[in-house]
Amino acid sequence: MKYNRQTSVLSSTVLLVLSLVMLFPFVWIFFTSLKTYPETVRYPISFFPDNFLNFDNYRVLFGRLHFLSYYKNNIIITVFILLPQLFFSSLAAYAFARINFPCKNFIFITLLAALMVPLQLMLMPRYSLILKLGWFDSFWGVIVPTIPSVTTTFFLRQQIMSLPKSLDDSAYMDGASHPRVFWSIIMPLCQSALLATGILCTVTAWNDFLWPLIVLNSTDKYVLSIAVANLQGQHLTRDNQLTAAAVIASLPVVIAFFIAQRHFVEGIVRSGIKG
Amino acid sequence: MPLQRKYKDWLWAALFIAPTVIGLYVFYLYPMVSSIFISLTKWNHLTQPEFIGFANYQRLFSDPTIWLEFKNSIFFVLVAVPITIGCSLVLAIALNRKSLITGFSRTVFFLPYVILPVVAAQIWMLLFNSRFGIVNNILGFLGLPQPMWFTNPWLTRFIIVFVIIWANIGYNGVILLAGLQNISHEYYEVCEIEGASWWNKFRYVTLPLVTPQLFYCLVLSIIIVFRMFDYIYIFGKGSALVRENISTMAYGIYERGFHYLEMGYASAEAVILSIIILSVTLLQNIVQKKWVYYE
Repeated sequence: MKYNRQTSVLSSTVLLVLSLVMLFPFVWIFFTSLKTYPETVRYPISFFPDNFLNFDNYRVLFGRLHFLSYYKNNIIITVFILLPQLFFSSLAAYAFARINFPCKNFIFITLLAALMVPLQLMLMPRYSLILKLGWFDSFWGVIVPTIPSVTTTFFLRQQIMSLPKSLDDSAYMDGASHPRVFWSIIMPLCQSALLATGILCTVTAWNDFLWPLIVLNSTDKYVLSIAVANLQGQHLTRDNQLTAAAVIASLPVVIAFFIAQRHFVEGIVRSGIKG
Repeated sequence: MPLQRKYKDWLWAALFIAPTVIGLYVFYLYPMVSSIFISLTKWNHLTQPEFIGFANYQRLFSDPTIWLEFKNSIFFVLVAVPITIGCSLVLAIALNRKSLITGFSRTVFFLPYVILPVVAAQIWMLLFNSRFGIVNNILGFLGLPQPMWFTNPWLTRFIIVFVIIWANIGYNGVILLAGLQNISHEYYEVCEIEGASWWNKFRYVTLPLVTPQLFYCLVLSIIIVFRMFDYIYIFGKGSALVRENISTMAYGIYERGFHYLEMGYASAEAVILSIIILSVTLLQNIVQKKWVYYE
């Protein structure tokens, strides 16, 4: 018993130390974002900024570097990916889980292919498709191809299949139609699953880089990931501004993660075990 | 009446699946198939594609740049994936208790997975900065050599491996933790009665019972590392020399297609990368029967 206690204290200490090491880059970046340029190139380097209330870098970011508009772009794109994706995926998930129709398995298997192949294989034809549709350098080009999602559909299908079938059968007996059963019976029971997969979808859409990089061309349409990547290596921007941008860009996802951590982890674990 | 019901069902099903299925066919499956055809052409996106048979593939196999990209992709997968999963398993075992510290640690270890990959790469570029980065300053303080991390290709590659581990350990840890929590206490109680050592408990109870999750982490991590684009973009942005040395196939496809406008050649590389990923995944599914234990 005593031995167990010792190992437990030891492993807790090791865990705590490692956690602090993991956390360190975040703290370092945050403190650097409060430093002036001379402070960042001074010897010996210091951990803490001279003035903890120096928000000049953030002021530059939102002023001269137009981060407010990148923020707005990111929010628009994320919201318009998230909501349609959840709605359309749950519709498809309901059909795959509850309705019998011809070619169901065939369609389902072809969707699996979309899951396995890397985005790089679709890049070139998708790009010319976007050009033909006139969506190059517009949010449509980023949003529309990202809305249909195999993972979200599969995840919600699993969730709906786990609900007892007797629920909707009794509703059919009473004469309810599929849209009615879907909206009034199934959807309310999927709330936690929708939340879990919705958070994963939000983070993915917010952080996406490669596809927006290809579709978006003019500076005023950039999303945060592109804006942050562009800051790097420019002579006009300093490391302290770069760190402020890093903080600004990741803050919403970090806050979302803290608020909904339980759902986030649940989403990952469930898609992990069943996917 | 039942027949009418059946057709009604079909109609609803078609309406329900239409947005997702049409979207996936248009933006995923059609481009996939189309890429295979483009890979047989010479196409700069400005003129009409010109059919050249398998010339792109022939060129691909004798191109030293692509060979280096292939080797880099394999290197990152072979080195980063086993270390990530090993560390994640240790982490999951350490977290498999309820206490204030495990709750805090779980959050902290997960955090790097949530932030933008672009930002993650930039953070570590600053920390490994040869003059003002904290890493070299600590090394200097300890009297150790302070390497120029981004002038040596191997050091840069190892930093990327490090960032992959840092970013994915929490994600894999959470999945493995769920597996550990599913293991029935009875197994461990039997071990206690039999007086099994710590190692035997791990080797004969914990490890076999967590293999389904290990398998999932392995499949997923390999795909993620093969697809890795953001890190290479950021780490290689500063200098063409570094970029050449760390470039992977996933990055090379982008560069070839959208910088050099060699769409056909880039598609051929994309086809090869997809074949590699698909065959590795398929192989794992075959081999899993030998080592994955389903209760």
